[in-house]
Amino acid sequence: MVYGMYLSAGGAISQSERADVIANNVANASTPGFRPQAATFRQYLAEELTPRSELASALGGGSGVYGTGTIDRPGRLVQTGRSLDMAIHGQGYFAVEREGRITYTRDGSFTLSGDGEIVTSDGLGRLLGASGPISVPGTDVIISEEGSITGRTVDGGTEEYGTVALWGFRANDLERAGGGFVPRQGAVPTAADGRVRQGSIEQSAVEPVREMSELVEALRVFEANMQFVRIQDSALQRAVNDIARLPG
Amino acid sequence: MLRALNTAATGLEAQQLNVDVIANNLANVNTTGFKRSRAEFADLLYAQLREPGSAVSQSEGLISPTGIQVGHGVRSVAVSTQFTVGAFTQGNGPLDVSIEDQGQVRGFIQVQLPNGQTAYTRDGTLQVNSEGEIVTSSGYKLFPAITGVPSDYVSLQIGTDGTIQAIQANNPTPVDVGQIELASFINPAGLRAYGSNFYLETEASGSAERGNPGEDQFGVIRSGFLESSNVEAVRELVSLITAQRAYEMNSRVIQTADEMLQTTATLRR
Repeated sequence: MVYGMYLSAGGAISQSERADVIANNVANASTPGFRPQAATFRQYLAEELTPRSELASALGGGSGVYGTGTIDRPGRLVQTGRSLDMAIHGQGYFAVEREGRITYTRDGSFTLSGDGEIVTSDGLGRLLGASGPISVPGTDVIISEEGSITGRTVDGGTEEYGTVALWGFRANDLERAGGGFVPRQGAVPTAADGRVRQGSIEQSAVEPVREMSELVEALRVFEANMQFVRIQDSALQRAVNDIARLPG
Repeated sequence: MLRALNTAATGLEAQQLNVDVIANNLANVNTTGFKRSRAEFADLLYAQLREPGSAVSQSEGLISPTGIQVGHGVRSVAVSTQFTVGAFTQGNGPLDVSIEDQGQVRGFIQVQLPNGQTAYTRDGTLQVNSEGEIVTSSGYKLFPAITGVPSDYVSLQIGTDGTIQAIQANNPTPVDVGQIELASFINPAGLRAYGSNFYLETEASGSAERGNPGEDQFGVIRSGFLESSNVEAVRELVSLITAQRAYEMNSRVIQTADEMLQTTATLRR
């Protein structure tokens, strides 16, 4: 029974970790370009937890959270009408240089710095084009589907300011850092075939119905496991206090 | 569970800010020259509970392909102002002016604040004060000041290049009074909102470039028209609904985490 209580506790803990992942998804329901995570579970073998025991091997070792994978589903594109908002239709990530390192993101809500460079909405990351950061003379620019940024000069001609570069990664080759992704060790970016849509933003890909039903399931399985702990506890209590009571 | 509780709390805070910004937009749906804002969010840092590629089970030789990364919620990174041009509506007289930029806002009217700073505005409701100076509806003088309006003027005309001419009672020839000068910024979204439809220059907006209406990047002045707010009520209401539902979802997560904690705490009665 004591072993069984630990199995139940382990089950409850994994549901609580799953609820942590769901909570992060729900909190980021308004974050542009966000991809929800899903906790995956696996069974443990008894050998991983306890020394060799035939009974334990027959029972198994309970379950635990195995990993948190990214659900690689694109969010909906929403038109905002803002000239520096960009959304990627298809595969690919924007490359942004933050404090010396390169992070990747689907969040295309860019703005201009005081020197005219295209930066992220918090002002700390510079959008990288094919040849480094991109400077434009104002917000009145046209961004084509291939990412080339052009503007009209005062005398009516057109001028090119650079090209927005898109990079391809598999979703699980990227590690999450707040506000973007960094590639895992050894992951190499490939060219991406997505198209850039100016004036649109990719909304968070969190699906409320899915998250809420997962949350309900996590809660109920958690409670079921805890109920089992209580049941085993009361059985143990009877065994110790009633059955094993010495007469007299 | 405690992490889920705090994560959902960040979600609630974010949606509260979202609703505050939307509420301000809707309150200013009829304010001349108002520019709508939007709250921007990003996810918070992640805790790496298990490295990807690390061994999960010695006996089975399993490795975790994705690792375990758990996030801590959301933060608001900016409230950015959208400087798109609002619709032009008919004003009350020739002293109501608007700057006809195409698409994105380029030019601002310059105003001298009482403390000496220069403020910038799209609100072109101008008036003449008792000393013959052109002032805004709050009484602040234009910059550079336009002061020579004759006291016996019958009407004022403002041309597309911003030149102001006065017509006097017995004089058929219009008298030149001055010219409105405009300022533009590389990043208008970086201007600081001062209130009363005024904006102040900051490092994020870039420095002001001055010029005359109709020249270079500056739009022409249209007298008799005012620029209305660029708030789109339908868009704001849809955002409000989304924000409310996101707030509700986050509060459900808090309730769930609370129930889990309660179950844990009352495990042993």
